[in-house]
Amino acid sequence: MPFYHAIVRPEVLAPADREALSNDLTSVHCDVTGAPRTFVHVLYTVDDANRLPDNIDVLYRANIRSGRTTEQKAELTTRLQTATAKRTTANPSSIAIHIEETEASFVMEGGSLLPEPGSPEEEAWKALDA
Amino acid sequence: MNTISCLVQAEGVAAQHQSELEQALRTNHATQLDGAEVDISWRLVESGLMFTAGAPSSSSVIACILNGPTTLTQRETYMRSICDFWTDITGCTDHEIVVSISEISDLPTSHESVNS
Repeated sequence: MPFYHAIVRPEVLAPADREALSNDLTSVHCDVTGAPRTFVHVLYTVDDANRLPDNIDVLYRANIRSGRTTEQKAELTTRLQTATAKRTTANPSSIAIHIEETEASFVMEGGSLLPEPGSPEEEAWKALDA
Repeated sequence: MNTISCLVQAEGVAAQHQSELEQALRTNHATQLDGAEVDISWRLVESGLMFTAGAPSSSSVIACILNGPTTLTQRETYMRSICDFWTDITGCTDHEIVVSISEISDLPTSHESVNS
């Protein structure tokens, strides 16, 4: 965790660009939260069935740890939209981001429960990428 | 009914051991939750659709929905067990496994709703 599930219209993102976009999204998340890169997952679902609302080209269901500030979530949203607009043909206004929050003690990754944001354990966890 | 949704890489090791993993999930669930049954679903992710740390992913994501509330110790024990047998069966590392728990509460019966 975090887990970003991107539902995208087939025409707005070339398959060859998925990895680059996932790398950009990972960078944004880590810049804003300080999380190690190895914990950031991005899954794409191509909306071949045209189930997205007419005014939406990319919909993110972003599952992140709870405890982030309102400012952090706002920055995440803005920067994710910008990063996505650069890698796709989607207009920023057609990129929707729905943030879902999960308490850290409800997730195990890397063999341990995730640390609470701001806890002493988080500092050691953040250093995992160092 | 509790549920477990497993998201694994279609070309990865976990997909090759799906039956064994599913049996282990059922056994673990029943052992820790007094014989409770569980619905298990699988999504096999095709290559090029999932990335971890900005690179093609080898991760498995096991999302469990359990009747709550659970204690921290119960959750940690439950998720630790999954990590242990998942690594044993697949040979993957702990860093390739994400386990999460969401809690559901029993909905009140109509009788309870009327009287509340």
